[in-house]
Amino acid sequence: MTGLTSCDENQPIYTLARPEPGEKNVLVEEFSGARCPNCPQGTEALEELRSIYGSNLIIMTVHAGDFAFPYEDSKFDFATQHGDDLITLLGNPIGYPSAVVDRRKPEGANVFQQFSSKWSSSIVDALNEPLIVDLDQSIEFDPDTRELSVQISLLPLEDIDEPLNLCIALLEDNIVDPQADRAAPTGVVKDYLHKNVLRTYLTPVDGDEIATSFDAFKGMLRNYKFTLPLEDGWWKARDCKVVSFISRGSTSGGDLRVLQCVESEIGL
Amino acid sequence: MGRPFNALITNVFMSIVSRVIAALAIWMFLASPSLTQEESELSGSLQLTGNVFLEDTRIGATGTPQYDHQLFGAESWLDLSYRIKGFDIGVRFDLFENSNLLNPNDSYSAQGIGRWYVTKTIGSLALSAGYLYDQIGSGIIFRAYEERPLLIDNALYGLSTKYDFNENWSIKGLIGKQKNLFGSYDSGIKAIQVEGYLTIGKNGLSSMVPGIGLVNRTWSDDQVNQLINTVRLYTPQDSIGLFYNSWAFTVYNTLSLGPASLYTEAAFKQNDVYFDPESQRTLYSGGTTLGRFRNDPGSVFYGSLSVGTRGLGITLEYKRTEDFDFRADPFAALNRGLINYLPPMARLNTFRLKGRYTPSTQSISERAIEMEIRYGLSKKWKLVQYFSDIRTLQGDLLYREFDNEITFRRSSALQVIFGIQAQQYNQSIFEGKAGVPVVETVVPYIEWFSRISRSKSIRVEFQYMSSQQDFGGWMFGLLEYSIAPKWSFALSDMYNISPEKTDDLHYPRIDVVFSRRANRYSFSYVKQVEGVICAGGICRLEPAFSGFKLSLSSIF
Repeated sequence: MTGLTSCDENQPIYTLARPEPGEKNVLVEEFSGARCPNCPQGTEALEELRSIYGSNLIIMTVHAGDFAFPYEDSKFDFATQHGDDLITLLGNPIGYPSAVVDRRKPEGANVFQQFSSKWSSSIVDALNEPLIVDLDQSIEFDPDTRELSVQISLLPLEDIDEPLNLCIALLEDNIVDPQADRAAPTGVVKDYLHKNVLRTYLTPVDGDEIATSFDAFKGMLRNYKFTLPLEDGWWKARDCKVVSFISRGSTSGGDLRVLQCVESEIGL
Repeated sequence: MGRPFNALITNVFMSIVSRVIAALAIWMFLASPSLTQEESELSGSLQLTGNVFLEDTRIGATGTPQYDHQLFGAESWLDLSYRIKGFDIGVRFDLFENSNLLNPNDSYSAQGIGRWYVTKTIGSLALSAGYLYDQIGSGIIFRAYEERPLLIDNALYGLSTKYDFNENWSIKGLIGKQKNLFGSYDSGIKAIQVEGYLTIGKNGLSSMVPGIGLVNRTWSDDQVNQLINTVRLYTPQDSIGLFYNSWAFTVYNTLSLGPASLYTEAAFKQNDVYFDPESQRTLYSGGTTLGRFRNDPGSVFYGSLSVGTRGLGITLEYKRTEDFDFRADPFAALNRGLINYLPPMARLNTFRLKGRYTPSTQSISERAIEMEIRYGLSKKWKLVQYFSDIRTLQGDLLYREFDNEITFRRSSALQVIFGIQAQQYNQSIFEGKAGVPVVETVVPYIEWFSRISRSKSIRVEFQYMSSQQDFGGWMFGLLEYSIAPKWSFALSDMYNISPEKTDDLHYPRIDVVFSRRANRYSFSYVKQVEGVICAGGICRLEPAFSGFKLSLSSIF
């Protein structure tokens, strides 16, 4: 008996290592238009905030609404159906510049859209939100076929008992085209450098529903493909980037809050 | 178990309290018939407007949820007030269904109790509680008011007390929060006012009505934290001090000397943090952007002189405004959250083309003068000359208007009004359209009214606007036929006769109005031209409208 009992050992005790949550990033959907004279001022203010918060702040410039139509000498029309869908989803701004921060309604407000004086404090509030979903994306691009592959990995950091949606958007930098600007003597900057321009969504603008409940630390993968149109003054792969984010489903009582967002350049 | 049990007890208690209040209210209403008619009175009013949206892409009436799929929008206000034994009790039900009043480009739906109040006078003391409308002086430091067409309802949700020292002097105190749709802003507002009445001389024909007022506004912790999160990112040269408490002070007086009346008011504001969209902010990148929070003190000086003698009336107004944006929330913009009201220095023109370019009041920098002279040339002829000149404090022209209007009234059966108006309108400032020239217009106009019979009358209007800027020239005509006291029919058209922006479009309108006793019903078919309105660096499109408008107003 003694021999038998001596076979038992005190098992070593250890705890599972859990992934350290990354930092919460914040998505700002800035609503703009080529004919919007106040919008470059808002863009400047957002760029200033990005110089402070770095990659934790992701800016998406959506050309939609009252001022989103080109000049006669514009080469490009930045307005898209997805932009119109975003107006439907997030509301038409009462004035410009206007932006939606992490798809959150400011406390006490009944709309998503916010004027520029409010952006800074809303961004700070959103940055301070605890991270409950970790998000990562890997990008592959075939320059011959121009096929873009996006793999999303999602890791809930706690049990979540509500539907979450995945949104993926494609943005483009460094597009030179006319832009109204009240600070310009003529009111229009002919060679304005447009950045973070929403070109398309790989999902619906309110996202694809991933699941209706999530177990903590049970990761998920999702894959998307998109073929970039041929370069025609724009759609330059080296200037394109992919923004992915996880948000609450639109059925959650109108709360579309973004839980995490990431941005990656296609990079060639 | 403790929390659910406590919650149950709380729910039961609240249920009992609400039933007791409801029972008391019902008793007060039901018990009133047993009281004498002099002791109680129940009255009310209903205002209802509805819009049927018919998309018309040619005039730009498109792109809002109402044109897209909602098709119908409505607003309604039902007021009930009850007076009994010195109590005034009132309640108002507000309804907005797909309304475009809050944001002309979007849809707003909500309903509920928009207002309630109770007032009681006990000897020299008057007490009010609930959603209150009031103002100090001309409203420059405090005005709680309602403007339904713009969905402004700046009622003070709180308490008011007024004490009459004697029949000439009184003191009033107010405390509460400003209403924000069906909620309220976080900041607290306190105000005090002392007002009096003095006669000058022995004949009693001259008098003074002096007053002083003080307003304190206290930001909430949350508002200050949000401000900190914003201004802490400013560069050192733009950084500002923050304050929880802001103070506004005013002193005013109305002096009446025979046929002349002079109103003067001087108001000051300090320790207020407000957003100035025109102020340049330096960025760490070395660049600049427009719009930053400031805390500079503000002031307003306002005077209004009116003199009326036989055959001659003169009204002269002057206003100087510097940094007087005063709000219940530092992040509120446009017409939201305004604690005060700055008197406009351009009149509202009722003729359609004369009123097409109307300047908005500037709260940061404005110096304005306005004058109207009315001559009674004879029993039949009257001349009105009007002049307004509005500039920035740096002297840049914002708005100027001249108008000469002649009225010929042969009898109550025939009246003709005609005249000519000239305007200069700084569209770049008022509408935020950089680089556009000052709009210059000349508008000749005429209105002819004739009573055909005892109940039937015809009114004809014709206006022409000459302009090479913005939309270009316009022509407007109206024909109205009335059968008093019940019916009125109107047909009008606004035509872009020399277009600069669009095709030469027509904007017709048909109105049918039926009135019976205290009820008024109207039905209109409307095509209305669009216009971009910007104030304080924020642009807002008042979109074109196409569709039907219905309205009902009733007093009972």
